[in-house]
Amino acid sequence: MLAEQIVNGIVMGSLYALIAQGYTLVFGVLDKLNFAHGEIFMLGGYIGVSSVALGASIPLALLLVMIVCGALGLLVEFVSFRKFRSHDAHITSALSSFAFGLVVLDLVQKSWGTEPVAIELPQTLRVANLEFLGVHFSLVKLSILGIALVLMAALHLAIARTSLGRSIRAVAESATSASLYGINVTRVIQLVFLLASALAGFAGVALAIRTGFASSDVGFTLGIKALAIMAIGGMGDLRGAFLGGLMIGVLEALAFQWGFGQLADTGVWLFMIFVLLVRPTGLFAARSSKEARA
Amino acid sequence: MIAKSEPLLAIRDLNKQFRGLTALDGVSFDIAQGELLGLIGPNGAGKSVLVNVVSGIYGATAGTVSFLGSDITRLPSYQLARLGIARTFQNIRLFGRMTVLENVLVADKRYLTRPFRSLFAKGAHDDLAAAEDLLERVDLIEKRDALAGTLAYGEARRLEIARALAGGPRLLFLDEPAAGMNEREMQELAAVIRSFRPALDAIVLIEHDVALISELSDRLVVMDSGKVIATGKPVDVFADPRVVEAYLGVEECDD
Amino acid sequence: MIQDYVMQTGVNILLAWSVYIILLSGSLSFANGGFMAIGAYVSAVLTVKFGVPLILAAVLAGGVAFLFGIGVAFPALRTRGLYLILVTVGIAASVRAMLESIDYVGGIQGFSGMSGASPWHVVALVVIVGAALWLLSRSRLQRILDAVREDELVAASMGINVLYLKLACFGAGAFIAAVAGSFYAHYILFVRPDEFGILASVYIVLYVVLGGMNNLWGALVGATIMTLAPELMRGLAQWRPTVFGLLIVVLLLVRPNGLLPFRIPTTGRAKRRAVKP
Repeated sequence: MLAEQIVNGIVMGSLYALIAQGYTLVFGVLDKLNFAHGEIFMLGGYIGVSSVALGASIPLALLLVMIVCGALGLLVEFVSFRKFRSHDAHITSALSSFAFGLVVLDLVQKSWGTEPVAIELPQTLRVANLEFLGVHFSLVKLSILGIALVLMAALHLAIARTSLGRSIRAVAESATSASLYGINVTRVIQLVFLLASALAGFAGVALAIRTGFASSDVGFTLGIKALAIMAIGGMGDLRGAFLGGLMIGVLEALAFQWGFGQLADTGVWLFMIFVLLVRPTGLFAARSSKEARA
Repeated sequence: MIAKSEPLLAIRDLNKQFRGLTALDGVSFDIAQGELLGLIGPNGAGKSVLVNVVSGIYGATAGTVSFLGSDITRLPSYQLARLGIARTFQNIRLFGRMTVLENVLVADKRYLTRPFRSLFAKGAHDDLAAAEDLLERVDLIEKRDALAGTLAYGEARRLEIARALAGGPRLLFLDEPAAGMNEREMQELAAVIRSFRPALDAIVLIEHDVALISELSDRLVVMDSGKVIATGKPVDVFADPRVVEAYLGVEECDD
Repeated sequence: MIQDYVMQTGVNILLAWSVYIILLSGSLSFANGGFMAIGAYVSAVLTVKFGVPLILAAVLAGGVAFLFGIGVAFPALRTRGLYLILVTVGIAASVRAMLESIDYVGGIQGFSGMSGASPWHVVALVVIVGAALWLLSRSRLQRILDAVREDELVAASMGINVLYLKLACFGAGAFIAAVAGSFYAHYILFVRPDEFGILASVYIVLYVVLGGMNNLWGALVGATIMTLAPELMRGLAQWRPTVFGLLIVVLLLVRPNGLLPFRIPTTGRAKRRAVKP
């Protein structure tokens, strides 16, 4: 069913958007890429699966995941970004965070094995669905979509309206002048890593619930694809990451529906290259990329 | 110096816009063979933009630049350099991780125009004598093996000039070479510029210091808000009330 | 066993040099895993399906990658810094994804049937490329490239055709990566698209960054250590990837400019000086 595929695409797209917003937040304040981000997202799935297996309710599992992944994000910032603050060091921090991701991946595979681990969901939850105009929508998927949208809206509001958000925007504009205004730049950067990683963790659990298992290769497949989506939407632009995620999710679902599934990955990367060449500020970025950052 | 009939460089109605902001507004003037032309104006008058357009770093929005009668408006930066148009940069831009000597040697046109052939050409060798002579004349020979990034401010300015000269240019734009220099350093710089003058067809000097520019220039072009507001001999130009208002009125005079 | 080490180290040195060659003109390429894949697949198709001799196939594959490298670099070089890095990441990812969808070369299952490469092919190539880079490091071309890498705007304003040099470096780097990939494929006997892609590309860049980006020895040392270090960790076999990852993190913290960060001046006086990034 086409409508069902589109809804599936939107659900998947909202997860892409969550991960991509993490990349874009970090890029916004530091002008650097966090290559450990995909593996933190992957880890989220496993923490979620294990929490549920140990008897945690789904909301509790989500909370646990966001705490653990957020903490790990702080560690990534400390190990791979704190010392490499200068502009020239963007390669060093990218490679260092990449190596950090390798460690996370290996430790996950040590702890949970290399095979996917199934999540134990109550039967009632799994089959529950809504019928609308003759189309069935899974309740689980719709909840994932709903929570993802709420989280992103909350993030958007927090950055647009709160004083912490103002600090983040100030650091994104210029760390030097932000520190002149008495903003603790390091604290702001930590906050950004915390937020980005917690959101990635949520996306990890949501994916595990949606597909029914946690898998160790999603960090490198979906996690990296979200990086491309971030660039498509506009590097450092939250709204761009959101719209880019939904767009790619839907396009991908349509590609599978019409039998081009094999080409979806190639398509995303070629699309990213095209966007970076023709409109480096991204498809959805506001007029000035500097203004639109974080 | 007697100017020949054909100008070395002719700038006609040059216009440059940055996102609707007009940086150059119908600039026209000639640079005659043999002259040392002073280009002055308050900050933001468009002097550096003009040099950037003429040296091919920015494209012109409208207007033409011709060199010895041929249109060079659309040529890329490296081809302009090969024609003999050289420049220095207002904010010093040396190759900081290369040695002083390398900064000069790299400018050798015989090699940088044919980078791959330079590998196999018979008898190809660095013209060390010429490079060292050049360094001698800007008083940097002692520093020949120092990294350019470690030079003091005045030394770095002089090395920029030496590097620009090492390519054997016909026309040289010096973009505020005396900025931040003290009186003694400025006099040394003036001596350096004079000593190189015969080797070049023309020099354009952008400078704020009225004494220095009056002393060195044959002729002045005054810019304000992207337009040329006066040209002529230094004495006449500084007597022009429009210049006094636009330039001296806004800028604090250093001396 | 020792043959495997020689082969792996040699291939990785060549790949590291292929990144170093592109870096000579100031661009950091994460596309070299893709160039290597093109080399491996093109040469494999030539030898297996058309019976072309290995060396010729490797050179032809190198030629294809050379053209591909220039073809993708021409538009890609419109971007700078992290944007260029992302574009090259995209190239590596697209090459892999494309190979996975081409049934003619086995798609996701991989491609086999080639053979005939020995470690000596690779050792010979390491010697040739190393000698060429050593000669280059003492030449005027190196000096011109250094100028481009330091400040391309100034280099252009001196008369250097920056784009031409950058394209040449991309082409040459792609060529070396592809020839290395050809020998690799004909030694390992079986290739799959997921061996290349982004992961391989990042590893290659790591060799160069950890070794040092300002001279040819850095890439050589970085690739050698990073290839053999996991073997030396046999005692830790179970923890190898974790220890390896931590080793990289620590090395970057301790020596962010690489193990051998110096640049050798091109004026013959081989005074070695520490160079900051």
